[in-house]
Amino acid sequence: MNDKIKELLIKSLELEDITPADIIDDAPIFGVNEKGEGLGLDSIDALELGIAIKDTFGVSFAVQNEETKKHFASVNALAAYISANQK
Amino acid sequence: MLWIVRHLPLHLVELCTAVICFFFWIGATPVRKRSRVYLEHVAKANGKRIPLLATYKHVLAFALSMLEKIRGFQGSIKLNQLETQNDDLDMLVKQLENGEGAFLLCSHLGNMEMLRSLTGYGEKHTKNDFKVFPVVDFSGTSKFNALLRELNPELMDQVVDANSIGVDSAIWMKERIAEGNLVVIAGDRTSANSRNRNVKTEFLGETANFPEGSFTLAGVLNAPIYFVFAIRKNDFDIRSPYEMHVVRAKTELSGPRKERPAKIKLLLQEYTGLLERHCLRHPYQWYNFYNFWDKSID
Repeated sequence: MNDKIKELLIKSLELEDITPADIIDDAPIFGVNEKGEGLGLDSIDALELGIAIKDTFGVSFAVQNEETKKHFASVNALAAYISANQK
Repeated sequence: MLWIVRHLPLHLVELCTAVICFFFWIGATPVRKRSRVYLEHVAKANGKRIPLLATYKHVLAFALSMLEKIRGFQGSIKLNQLETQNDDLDMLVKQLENGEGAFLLCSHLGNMEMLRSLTGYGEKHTKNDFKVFPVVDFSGTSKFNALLRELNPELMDQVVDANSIGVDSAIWMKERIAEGNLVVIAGDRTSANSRNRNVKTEFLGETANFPEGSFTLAGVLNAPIYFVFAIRKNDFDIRSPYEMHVVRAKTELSGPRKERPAKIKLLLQEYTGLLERHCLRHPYQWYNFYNFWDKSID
């Protein structure tokens, strides 16, 4: 699941020069953490990634709240959310 | 307020509005100042001097648009009050009839909300049924919105809050468009909390700041884009017929993401070009009491 998400990230957001191996499973997708890890994406990227996840995995997101932000925290968090909600 | 609009003759309501507006206008110095900045730009672009009482007329036109909305939401305005132009409306209608949705960029010029109310009163415009989902900034107008909700709850339920667009609402909007509906947002929406990114562009003869958000959303939703304007032909008579303008955007946002910022700017300039043209014809109907030319904004 993690690899699929990484591929989707790269494809949907057209992240050039990044391979799935470059993406750290528990590093932030949006912004960077104190260790300087993370993809540094912004809120517009989040919208597009959300749409791509819906199209690829058929998993939607409930009303925007703190919970949604947690699901987008890292590749690991997204994988857990998608696995739990996929039909 | 509702009782007044429902039961008193319209010209009496208009007269009351004019009187109330006069006192508001005297008291509201910041509004008057910002209105003047805009109207001076219009006057300069038209090569004229700013008319006497212009800022009062601006405030009055805005107040009349509120009455218009109330009348629209209670179903008093009819489709035959709309005058269509020889533009891209046919293309849009054809698209809707094929079950394809679209993304509409409207403005605070004229009265789109009033126009939307027409879809809530059963008259069919196309063979296919479709809905109109506006994305609206509710901050600051909660009381007025409560009033509109009272008049037509169903219409108000179809509204997306512009201040909380997230992954959920983006997906939702995309799905509604895919089902053949319309999603509408104003391209000249400015909110007090200007966390919006701005794009600098020429508007009424000087560099102005326009918020990028609506145009970015267009890129995310990746649907056909149309610019729409609904303007009262007669600035100060709400029984006046309306001009409806529909123009298909020439800028396509699809393609590599890298190129998108430049395309978004082109789209925004297409939009401000049309907006400017209509503002010069009907300056008082741009209900945007905000300084777009503020030099202190980066």
